[in-house]
Amino acid sequence: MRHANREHALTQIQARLRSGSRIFLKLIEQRNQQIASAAMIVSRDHAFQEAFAGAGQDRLTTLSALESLQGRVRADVVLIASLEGRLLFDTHRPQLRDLAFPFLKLLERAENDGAASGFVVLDRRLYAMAAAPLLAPQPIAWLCSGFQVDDSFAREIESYTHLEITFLSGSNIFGTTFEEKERVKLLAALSSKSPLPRQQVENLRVAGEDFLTFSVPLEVENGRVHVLLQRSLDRELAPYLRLERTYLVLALLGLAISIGVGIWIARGVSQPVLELARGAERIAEGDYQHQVRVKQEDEIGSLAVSFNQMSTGLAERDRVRDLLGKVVSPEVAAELLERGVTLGGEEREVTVLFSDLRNFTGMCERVPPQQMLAILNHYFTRMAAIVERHRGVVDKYVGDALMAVFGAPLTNPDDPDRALQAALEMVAALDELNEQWHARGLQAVKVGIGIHSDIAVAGNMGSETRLNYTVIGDGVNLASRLEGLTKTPEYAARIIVSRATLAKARGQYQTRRLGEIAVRGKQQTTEIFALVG
Amino acid sequence: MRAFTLLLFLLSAVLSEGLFAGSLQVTVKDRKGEPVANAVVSAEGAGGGTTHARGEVIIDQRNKQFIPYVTAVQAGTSILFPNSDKIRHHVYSLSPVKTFELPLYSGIPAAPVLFDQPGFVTLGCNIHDWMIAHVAVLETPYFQVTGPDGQVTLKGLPPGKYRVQIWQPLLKAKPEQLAQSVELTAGSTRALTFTLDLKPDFRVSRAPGLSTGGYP
Repeated sequence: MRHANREHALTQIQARLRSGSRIFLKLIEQRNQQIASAAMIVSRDHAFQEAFAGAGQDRLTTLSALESLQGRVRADVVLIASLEGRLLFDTHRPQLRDLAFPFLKLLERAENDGAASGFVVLDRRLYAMAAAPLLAPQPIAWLCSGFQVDDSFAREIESYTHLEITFLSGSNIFGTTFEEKERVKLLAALSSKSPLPRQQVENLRVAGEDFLTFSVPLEVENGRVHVLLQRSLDRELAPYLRLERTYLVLALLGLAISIGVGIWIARGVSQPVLELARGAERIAEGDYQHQVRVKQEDEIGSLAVSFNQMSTGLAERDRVRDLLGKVVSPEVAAELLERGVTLGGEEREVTVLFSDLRNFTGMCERVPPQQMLAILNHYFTRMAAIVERHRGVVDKYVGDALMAVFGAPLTNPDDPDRALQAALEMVAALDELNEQWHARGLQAVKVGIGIHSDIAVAGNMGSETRLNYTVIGDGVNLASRLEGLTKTPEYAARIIVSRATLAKARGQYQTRRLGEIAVRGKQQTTEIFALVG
Repeated sequence: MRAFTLLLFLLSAVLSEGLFAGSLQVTVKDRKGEPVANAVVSAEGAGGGTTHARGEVIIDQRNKQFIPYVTAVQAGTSILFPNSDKIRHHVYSLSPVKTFELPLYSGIPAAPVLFDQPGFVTLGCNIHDWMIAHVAVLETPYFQVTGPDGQVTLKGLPPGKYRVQIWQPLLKAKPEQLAQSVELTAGSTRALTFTLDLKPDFRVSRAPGLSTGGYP
């Protein structure tokens, strides 16, 4: 924009300089015509003619009359030349007489045209000089009135053209619109670019300011005088600069406002939205405790409040689920939540594991009840962990007995294997625990485990307001019986498994056949084995 | 006897005038061959001249003009300047030969103006720039002003050598430079021609309302 402005300003100035020079030439032409007319009128002054040419003429009278004429036309100097071209009188230098008149061409023109005017240099000053014949009634001499071209004349021209004007010859400035201290700089700038090309606009740098300059030669009879028409680029650009500055201010203001609005939006919208997004992320990760910190009264604020409420609700549900999971087992809890709480069940192929501690009460005889509970919990924690690790579900704890189900609510083909491996691990874990308890001065306890696989019914059992998810069936009872049989000293088995379980198991296990038992409701007996490893 | 001598004397005088005087025919032309009017032709002889017989010399002001434009008189003649216009005129001359002025007046001035010095006088009207007249004041009695035909005949010139001079308001050269010499014998007629270089006539014009002359 600045470049375009500058280009535009340059074009404007150039046009202005050219038109200015035309105006200038027209102005001085008109003025010269005026002074020629004035000279003509004043030269017909009969009284002066008489003083000049009449009887009894004397120099002093003539000079005084000339001064009067000079004042009449407001000239700066008046000269009288004889018809032969001799200077007779000069109001500036009264003592001079009979020199060669320096402006013969002017007189020639006056002779041809009746009166003439032009520029001359007299005594190092520039004059616009008019010549008219003293007619008495025929020409007897020439009357020349000179009007100095000085600073005030330059300023007068400036008022019409709005251009800086300087009349100069070489380094002699006759008149200029520049201030005193700038003239030296102007001359210096000129000398560096001398000679100035004619009819062409040049850039002159004067006192740090760029001036587009147009040099016009002035017709002067006895000298080489140029007129410089100049226009300051800076002044021309000034309004554009103001405009630019205004634009800049507006732009900055606009920018500031945009930034302000941006910040406001950020504070009011983006930030809380981000905060909400983060909150959602955390919830997705499972952190329901996270609360979104947004404190504003608008729509975003109410969204945040709803979000937090949702978060709390989710946290609540999570707790409930967790709790449920803790109470029933995570898988059962999931099953319940998914299927809903309805009484009834479904038939499943399950492997049931019962474990019981022998002599637990005896172990805790001299132990306070709180400690006993703690020990029991410690034991159950270990055992439950093992069950869950094997994808089993702890169905219930009854005293120091534990019932685990493999196959409900989710069935796996290797449920029997899982149960068997869990049992082995449980036994091993108990051994570890016994060592610990022994170190604490407690008696050792023994465990008995019974495992059987069969079809059972898995589902919610109880009343509508108070129910358990469990499995029931003959197979469950058998598993319990097998567990009880571990007390039988002849068997010397800690884990007793049924044939059904072994048959369904895929892995290899070390077993010892124990015998056969009668199963209620079935005619055939079932083989039972001790699981060793 | 006395009457007869008187008669003889008169007769010889008459005869000498008519029979023994010469005449001069002068034609004045310009470079283009056009006849030049208002040229003063004068013949200066060695012999003493009689006084040029002139009646009252009048330069009239009529219709805001001097009439005639060029007048020739012998030195010592007086000229009357009657104002025949209804408006007043201010006649003046700043010529060194005769400087005078008749301030604004109408009608006939009280006295005529005596032109006693030989030379050329230019006079004008102070309030009407275009009014100009010329007076050639001559020593010799033998002179005449050409009319539009550019010709004059000077009669009754006693035999002898004459220096014929010519003057015209627009003459570029000085009269002495153009003088021609001629010898007249009794009863003879000589013809002379003068070819003049004239300046352009830049007399102030009389355009009504505007007197600008050659000014732009």
